[in-house]
Amino acid sequence: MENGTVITQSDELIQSKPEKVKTPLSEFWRKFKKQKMAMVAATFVLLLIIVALIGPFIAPYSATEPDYDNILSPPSLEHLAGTDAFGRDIFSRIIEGTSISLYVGLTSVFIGAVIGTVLGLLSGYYGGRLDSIIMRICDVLFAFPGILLAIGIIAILGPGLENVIIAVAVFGIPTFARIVRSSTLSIKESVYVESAISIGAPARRIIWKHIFPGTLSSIIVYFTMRIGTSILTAASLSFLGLGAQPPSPEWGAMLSSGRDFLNSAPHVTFFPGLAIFLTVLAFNLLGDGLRDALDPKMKD
Amino acid sequence: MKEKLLEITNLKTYFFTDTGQVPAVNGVDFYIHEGETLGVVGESGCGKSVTSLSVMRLLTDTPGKVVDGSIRFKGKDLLSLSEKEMRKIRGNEIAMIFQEPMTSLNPVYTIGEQIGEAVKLHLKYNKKEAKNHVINMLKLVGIPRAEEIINEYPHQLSGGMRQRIMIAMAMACNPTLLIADEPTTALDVTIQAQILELMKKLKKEKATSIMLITHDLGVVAEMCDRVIVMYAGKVVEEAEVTEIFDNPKHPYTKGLLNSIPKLGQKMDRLDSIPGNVPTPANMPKGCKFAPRCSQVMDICKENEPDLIQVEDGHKCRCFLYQNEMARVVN
Amino acid sequence: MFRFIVKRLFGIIPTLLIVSILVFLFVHMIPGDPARLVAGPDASYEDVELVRQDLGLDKPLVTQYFTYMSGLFQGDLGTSMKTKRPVFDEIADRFMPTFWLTIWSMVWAIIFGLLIGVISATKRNKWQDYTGMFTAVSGISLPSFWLGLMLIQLFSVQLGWFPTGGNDSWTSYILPSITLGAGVAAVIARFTRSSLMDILREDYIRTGRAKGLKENIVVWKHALKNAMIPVVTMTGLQFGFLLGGSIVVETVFSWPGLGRLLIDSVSYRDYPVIQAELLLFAFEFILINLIVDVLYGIMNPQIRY
Repeated sequence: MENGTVITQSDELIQSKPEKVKTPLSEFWRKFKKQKMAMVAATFVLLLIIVALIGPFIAPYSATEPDYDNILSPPSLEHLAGTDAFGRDIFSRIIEGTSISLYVGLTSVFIGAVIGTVLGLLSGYYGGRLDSIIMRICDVLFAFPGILLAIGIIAILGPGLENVIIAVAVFGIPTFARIVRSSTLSIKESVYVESAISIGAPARRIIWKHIFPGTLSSIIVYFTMRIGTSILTAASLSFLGLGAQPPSPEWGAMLSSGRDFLNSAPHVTFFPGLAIFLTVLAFNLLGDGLRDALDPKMKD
Repeated sequence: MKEKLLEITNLKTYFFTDTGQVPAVNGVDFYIHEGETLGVVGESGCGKSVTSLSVMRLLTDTPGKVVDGSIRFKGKDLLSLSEKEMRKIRGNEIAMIFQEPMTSLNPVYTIGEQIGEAVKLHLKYNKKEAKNHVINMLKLVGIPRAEEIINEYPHQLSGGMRQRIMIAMAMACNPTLLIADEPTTALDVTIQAQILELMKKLKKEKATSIMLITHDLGVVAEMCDRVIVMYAGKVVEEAEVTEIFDNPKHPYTKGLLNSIPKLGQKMDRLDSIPGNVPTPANMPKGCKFAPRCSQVMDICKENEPDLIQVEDGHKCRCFLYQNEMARVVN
Repeated sequence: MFRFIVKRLFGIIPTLLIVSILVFLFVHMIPGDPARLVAGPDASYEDVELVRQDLGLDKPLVTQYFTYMSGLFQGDLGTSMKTKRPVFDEIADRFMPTFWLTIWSMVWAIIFGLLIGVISATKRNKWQDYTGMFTAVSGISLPSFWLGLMLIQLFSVQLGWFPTGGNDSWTSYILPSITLGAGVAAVIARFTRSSLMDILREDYIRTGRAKGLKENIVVWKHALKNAMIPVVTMTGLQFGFLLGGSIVVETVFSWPGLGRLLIDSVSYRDYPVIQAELLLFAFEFILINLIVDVLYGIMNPQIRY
């Protein structure tokens, strides 16, 4: 390394530009912005967040007021996505429903991620008995397909949006726990953690200061990928009548209420479904992009 | 006059990456006579393996591409052949043995299946003929219980056995040229000797030419008739094997020779060449070896020397011998 | 191999027991008084108590569990509160339609998933790869109920090619199985691509090419058999997704299967049916995992039992 014949990473070789200081963040950004699809998706997600925040102010019509003069009218300049069985403007309802979908997706994943991460950290760090108990619980949770588990939970708690959030959160726990556990195990073997343990640093400090930051990139990637799935599951539950109830402008519920008019007014089901699809697609593409930029080893 | 079986002229293979192109092989010339064993020597990253993959046209799964030069095999230019014509040469007329016997065999197919595949393809043998041929090949490379081994999977065999299998596979269609890319590097010393013995024996029996890629000068001394030394994608020295050991010219070759221990010679420490192989990003302007060279002159830092004949059959790429070149040419 | 299967079969018994206990507790946590539900809203307190005794609901939970389990081994899963028919019959009626729907979905999913995955991996970073992977990520993002309804609208309502629901003939299977299989096909495609790309970098692939094999043989014979080992595992796990997905798809296509039965029983709180269905789903899922394990062993000669 001394006499000018430095071996660097091969992909940096060719650039003879003056070396910029590489922070992890700028390195991430360099890799991320190369992925066009992910950039488009990120822009769309940003747009969704803005719409969710200011939705009621920009929606051209009321999302809940019936208008019996305009029942089931097809898409037009006046009503971009047509109107539903109560004459409500579907476009406005989709705009107002954005906040519901994002709220459900984000909170459910967040709850699942927090609990799963804590379990994964404990399981991976302490190992032994605690590890086998936690992993056994995860196995049992895995013995049920996700939506089935959610339906089971809703059977106990009753239908409703809050219960959907809990149900979706629960089935995210085992996956987060496993991912965090496996990266905890590998970080625990690293020299800096072993040295921290050897100088007698308290376990809590080691976990939070040394191990948790190392697991963060997998958590972020998985978090993003999970949002899409959660929005989809929540919409499915609402579609089945177990989640948000009419007249809520939740997309799955809107779609469900349009089923009866599928022949005469397909737009009532088409547009809410399109909104779900594009939103979930954006989060999935964003998740893929984050994975490629942050954690290329991670597989789906 | 011996025929040239393989003749490579001005071969340039570049790697195309996100950040730019890297010349892995940068104008290489050499030839192999019929029945000859040519040693290709150099540190890792000097372009030895890329040269061999260029000959086989197996750069498909690398970002590499041949950008210039010609590879003539039995008078045909391999670079201009269609993929279909090239497939008839691969495994049939030119066969290859790789460095890693542990990973070079497909784990989900039996030994018999993997050797038999090439035999059926190139020699058009039917199932039974292929099976007999495979068993004979296995016996030839000294595998005991050949009849049973054909039904076993690679993971059931040791590294040395697997390299024998690889040799059996390579020799199965009687190739005229065998390219062996570090065939013994991954093996234990005792196994290394056995494999080298086997290759020598097969070469004698079948009159196969061998291009032996290695960084181990001991292997070269054991096996080769002639040697080329590569550095940073170029040939820096070429000579008969005895000439290389007795009368090395290029400071790099001298450095390599000094870094191997000699029997019966007392040394306090082994010499090693200071520094590292230059990376493409900081490739020196003049002679690529100049930054590490003990005999570096001012001219070396500015200009790159040509590969010139310094003695009969002995070529060297170094300004130290420029005057001699003048003598030879005039 | 046989010994391994037997060993694994015995190995799933504890898991099944835990799952059965959990499902039992789970169902008993469902709020509402099942005895009241059976007796009807107008029944007197005494009538409700009689029903409770009749159903054995007055006994301790442990006793109830053992009663249930011993019934289960004799094929007695209790009586549906909604239809008053034996739960066993209810489930038996609905089993085959769901079974075949799942199988057909899996067939589509494997065919399209593998094809897209292999093409994407071999045409890496070319337009085929981008198209394939965009299709796949779209497939994962598609709400199955929406896809189903749009397929009905296009192919049944507009074109009249397939029935809108029910299962009366083989044509009834096409739209629901495509709807259900789309997501799994997408997952298989993505997984096959990444697995195959890893394998194509292996040394033995280069050996295959060096033998002079055609690229097609290298990919479809040498690479794919190796790449399939993780793909098979993942595909098996997707059966669980199909079981779950069938709940939604059966609702969309008015399919007389287990998924719709579950939704109906959840809204009616028909808890003997819920219990039996949850057990059945979990059992199928565990069984599939076992089959996947065995397949894994058959495909990978490095595993010997």
